Amino acid sequence: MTGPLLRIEDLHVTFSTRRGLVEAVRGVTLSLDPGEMLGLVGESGSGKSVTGFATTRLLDAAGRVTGGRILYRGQDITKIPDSDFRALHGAAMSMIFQNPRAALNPIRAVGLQIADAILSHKRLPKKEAADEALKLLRAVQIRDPEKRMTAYPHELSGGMCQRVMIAIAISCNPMLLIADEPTTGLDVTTQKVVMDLLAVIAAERGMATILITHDLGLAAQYCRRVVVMEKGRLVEEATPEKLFRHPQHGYTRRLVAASPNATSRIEDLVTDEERDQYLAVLAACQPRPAASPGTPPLLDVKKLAKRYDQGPPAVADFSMTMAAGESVGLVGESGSGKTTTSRMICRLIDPSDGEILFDGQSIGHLAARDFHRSPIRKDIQIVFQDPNESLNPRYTAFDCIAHPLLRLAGMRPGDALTRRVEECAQRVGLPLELLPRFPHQLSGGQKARVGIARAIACRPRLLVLD
Amino acid sequence: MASSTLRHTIWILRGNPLTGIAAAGVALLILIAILGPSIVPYDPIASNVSQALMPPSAAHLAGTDQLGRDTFSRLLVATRLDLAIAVSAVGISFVLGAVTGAFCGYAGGRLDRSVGRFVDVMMAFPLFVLAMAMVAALGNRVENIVFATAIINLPFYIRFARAEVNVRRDVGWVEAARASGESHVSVVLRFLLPNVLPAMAVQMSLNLGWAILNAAGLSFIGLGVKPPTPEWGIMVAEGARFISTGKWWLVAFPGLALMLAVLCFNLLGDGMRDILDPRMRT
Repeated sequence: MTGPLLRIEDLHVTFSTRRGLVEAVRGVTLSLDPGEMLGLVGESGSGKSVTGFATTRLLDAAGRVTGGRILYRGQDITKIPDSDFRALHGAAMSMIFQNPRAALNPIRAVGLQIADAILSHKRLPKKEAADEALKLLRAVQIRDPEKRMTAYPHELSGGMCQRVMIAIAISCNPMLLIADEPTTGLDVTTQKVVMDLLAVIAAERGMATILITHDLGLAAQYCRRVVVMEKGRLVEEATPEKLFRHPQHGYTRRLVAASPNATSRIEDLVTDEERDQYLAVLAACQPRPAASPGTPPLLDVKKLAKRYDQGPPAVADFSMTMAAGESVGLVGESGSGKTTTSRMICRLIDPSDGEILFDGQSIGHLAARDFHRSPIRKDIQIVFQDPNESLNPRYTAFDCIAHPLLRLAGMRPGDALTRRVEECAQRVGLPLELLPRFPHQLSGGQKARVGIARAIACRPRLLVLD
Repeated sequence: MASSTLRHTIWILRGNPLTGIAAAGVALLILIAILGPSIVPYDPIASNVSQALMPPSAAHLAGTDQLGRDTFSRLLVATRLDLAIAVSAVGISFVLGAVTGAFCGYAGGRLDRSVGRFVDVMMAFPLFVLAMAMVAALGNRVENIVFATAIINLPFYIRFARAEVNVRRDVGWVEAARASGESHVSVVLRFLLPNVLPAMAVQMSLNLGWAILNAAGLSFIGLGVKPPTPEWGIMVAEGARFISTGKWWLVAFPGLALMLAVLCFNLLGDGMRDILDPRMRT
């Protein structure tokens, strides 16, 4: 076959919202050869996902293609009726999404869901469709495929769910796969395995892939050509080597700089202005005097255990010590009891057994129910895992940071409180103009900063980062 | 925030003008309830036998009943009583139900199980029969209608608040509030309940229509409000005697008033669900 598989010419996509029309994509032109893997990179809101959705005609009701053409094998697919487009879905192009668990039907066994996808395009006896589904599960290298056929999505890990999604996506041998942040919700090791699998499958089947991601490093690793988008426009297109060595556009340069590698320091990941701010903060910090020998450790955990009513203990025989100013990493896979341990040390839940000494003082015996009255409450603070869920939807960012100060540091609303909140916001790099905003008006990163600012507001002596 | 909520509300109303009509209807009902007795053309209780059973006319917009009382005036005056019964009944069941349900959902365990079984038992009764039994046992008074309506609504609020709080009790911001020094009780009252409130407001609006029907139903079968007090349920009950002789207006207009009131509250509830749903905020 000659010519590109997919060609997008001067695509415009507009959303009608209550603030009027918003142009999400403004004139994107790109092309994709059969079997090629193209990286489409940009930060959230750059229009990269919208481009993908427009191609597969999965834009939600408010979005419309207002200009340009999308040519699939030379045919303009923005013009054809929905009924004809349905035949293209699955067989010609398919898509995988960021949150695989949400994309699967929670009350149907995954084997049946794969079979459903096959049956929607092919007339086959049910038995053969099931065999086909099993073959696909093998192709996506799931462990114990026979057993997984009857599993429900909640019984599978995020990585396995994404494999099932890939199996569904490739079930009808599409020529084009659009992968929208396929690994964003997964942990780092699973991320690599899933991406490797995707690359192998695409190569084996000669399937062209558009990898939509905010992670320039990921795109560079797997794609031979990377397209960078900003604010709905295409700003740069090059090979990854060229992008990293000689980024042409200012935005790309920032993206490249923001892609951390083993030798990056925090100064490299921020803009010049932010860096100066950060260095000023750093200079203002006095180095902590090393703990003199003989002083008790700040935290001393002895044989900590947590058992719930049924099942094996969540945590058993956990001991550790930590000196003031020290950083300790607590590593383990999900389900290993990291979170339970951190909650016990933060005295949010009661341990079943064992002792927690903070600054030489036993705090394990205080009931978690009453710990909010303890003077030590403000010395042990925690930053939560999911920034999207860690802020009260009815509190502004300011209220969130001020809350512990009001409750624990005995501050009253007034200038002193405002100053302290602003100081905390500055320390975590949260622009002050965002303080009156509510969580749903903040990005994930901004919410995370609010969460950190809240945790450091009372100057805790022990900070748990979950 | 206030202006963005207003803008959001307008945006929703444009997509669903029925909500606006329902809100206007509810506003009109409230206005009539407040002004009712002072704007009526006739005394709703004074009888005038010479004018008995007149069909609707310019003088009597909705006709007159067997004692010559003006039906239209009685309808307007009845609005206050019917709304007051519904609002206070729903208010009581909301406050009790939301607090009980929220604590059950947050605490879980034995408290949750025992309250849950109690609610199950209550819901196993035919609720209207339960209300009848309560009014019959406690005495035929308006307070008892309010009380009975509140009790039979309670299980729904308990379940609703319990479910809404239960899904939120382990989210980060609840734990963060505890790390910031809040006790369990204040986490429930000052953090979880305010977050559940919008969803419960929708439930309340839907429930108001139901409570109006319930109160009217009790009066219709002779429990609760006694004649000659104007009340929609009694008016339907009294008028039913004359319907076989073709005096349709005695039943039709109170029935219509009931239907419109219930419809307005239900449509408003649906609209509020759209306005308050954060997923509609893009």
